[in-house]
Amino acid sequence: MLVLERVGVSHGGFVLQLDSWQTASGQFHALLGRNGAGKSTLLKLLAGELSHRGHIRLHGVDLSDWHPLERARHLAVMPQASRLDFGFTAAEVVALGATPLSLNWRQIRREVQRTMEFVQCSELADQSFVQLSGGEKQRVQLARCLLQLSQAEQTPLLLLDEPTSAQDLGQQHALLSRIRGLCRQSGYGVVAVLHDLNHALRYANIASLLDAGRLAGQACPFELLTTDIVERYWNYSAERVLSAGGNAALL
Amino acid sequence: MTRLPLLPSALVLGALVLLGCLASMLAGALSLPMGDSLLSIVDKLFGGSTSRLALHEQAVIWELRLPRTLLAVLVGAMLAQCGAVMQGLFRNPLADPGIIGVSSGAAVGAVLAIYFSPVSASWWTVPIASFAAGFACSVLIYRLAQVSTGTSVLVLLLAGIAVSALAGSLIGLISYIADDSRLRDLVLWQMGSLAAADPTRVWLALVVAVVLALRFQNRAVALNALLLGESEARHLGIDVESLKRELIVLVALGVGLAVACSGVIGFVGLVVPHIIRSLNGPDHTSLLPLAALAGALLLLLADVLSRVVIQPAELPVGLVTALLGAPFFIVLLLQQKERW
Repeated sequence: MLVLERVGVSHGGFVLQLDSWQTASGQFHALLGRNGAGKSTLLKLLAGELSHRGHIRLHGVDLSDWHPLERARHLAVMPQASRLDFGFTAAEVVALGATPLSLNWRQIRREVQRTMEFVQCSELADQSFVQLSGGEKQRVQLARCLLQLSQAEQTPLLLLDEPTSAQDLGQQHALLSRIRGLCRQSGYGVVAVLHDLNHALRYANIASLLDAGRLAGQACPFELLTTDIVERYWNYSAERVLSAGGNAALL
Repeated sequence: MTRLPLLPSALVLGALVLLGCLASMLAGALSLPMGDSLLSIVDKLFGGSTSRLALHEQAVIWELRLPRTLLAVLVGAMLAQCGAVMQGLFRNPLADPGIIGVSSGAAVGAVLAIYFSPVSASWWTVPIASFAAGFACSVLIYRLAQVSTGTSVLVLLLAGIAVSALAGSLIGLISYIADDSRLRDLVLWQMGSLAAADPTRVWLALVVAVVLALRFQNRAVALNALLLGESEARHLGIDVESLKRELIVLVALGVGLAVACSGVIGFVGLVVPHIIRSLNGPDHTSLLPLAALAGALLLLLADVLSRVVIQPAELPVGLVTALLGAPFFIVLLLQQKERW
């Protein structure tokens, strides 16, 4: 669904070069790499925020050729942190996801309720967004993104920048398993910057390893994240274990 | 969080604005019998001749107080809406055209036009000059205050101080070389006054206020999205650059015209949107119309107050709004200082 061809970008002195990269519908695609490897730059690039060489095509159409509203209905970006300074309630923030959609206020209210239930943050609906914890804000923002994608005619793509960075342990897994559910059941494409390699091992079905602005490897996380790779790219000698349920984990 | 609903709030504010208009038509240096003044208004609205006011007394009501009342409504509505939009644009609840220097900049334009253009041309040169100067200041301050995460409050306020200081010195220079009759005009201009209201100003303000209100309402949803951040608004399908350009031009137009019609009237654009946000929430689709009504009400009341406190003389209305608004601004700063 999203294809990059001979893409090059220079952003704040950092150069990212990808000859060929793609992600498909139904995939939970993890972007991995140490700090400064180019994960966030790639995510910004996919979001259409950076001017670049080469082509980025979503459903066969160059990103810049999409009508902005049409593109917004198919591509949503969940920011890592929020800088909102005004007293919106959480439900009002979620409702902002309806900006590119043609819904009346009743439909918006229903969709807000549905997406907040899906992300398990209904109880926050009437609370002031500014006063929520970082993790709660992330969940509300995810609900907003899902509302934004609710009228997509083709498979939507969700870009996530460290979606669990402020969540507690239980919420991290609840959130990631819901996102994986979106990929499996609704065919959403998801590209997520993840710092926790165990999250990639557990939830992603494909991972791209970035290093110094280039693609250093791409495979399913189980194959990609060997102890050698972890040692080479993160300078950490990890031990890899297999649980009784067949899940791999790095210690 | 509880929110007051839009329609009842608008109806209450609308009724209060009508009462404010009535008070403004009845208050002033020349004390007229209230009953006959009311009857004169009823006569005018429904036809008839029940009022016992003399012709010159009727003229006070219809030729002096009516334009003044209408100008207060229009300028108050414009200033409050421009304040609300500017706060949305800067994503900062403290941005106000007066505080960040746009009004002073517009005043420089107006003062230059008053000084250099012949009196007969001033009805169009003053608004155009104050719009142009207000626009230049808006762009300058916006550029200055841009940092990677949005706009910096600190730079915004400092830029406001710098621009106001520059504007003050330019106005001071022109005042220094102006003759006595113009000097009084210029000084009054800086304090803000609705006393110069006439039909030309009212019509001009009406046209601009209607254009502004319609365009702002049209952009209200996009402004809501912009509050999340520029990238986020772009991801929601908003053409952020064209939105910002349009809003800066419109705000400069509103503030420029308000300054041209009534001088520098500060704090309406800060106080009104803040109160409406705390009662009805920050959603611009309801904030903008309610702010227009509340702005009209505030300026009406401030103007009535300015006419009655030291009767038979008048206070400049800008002094009244500043006396009400400056303490409000200090309280806001105290509440929010921990965040910077």
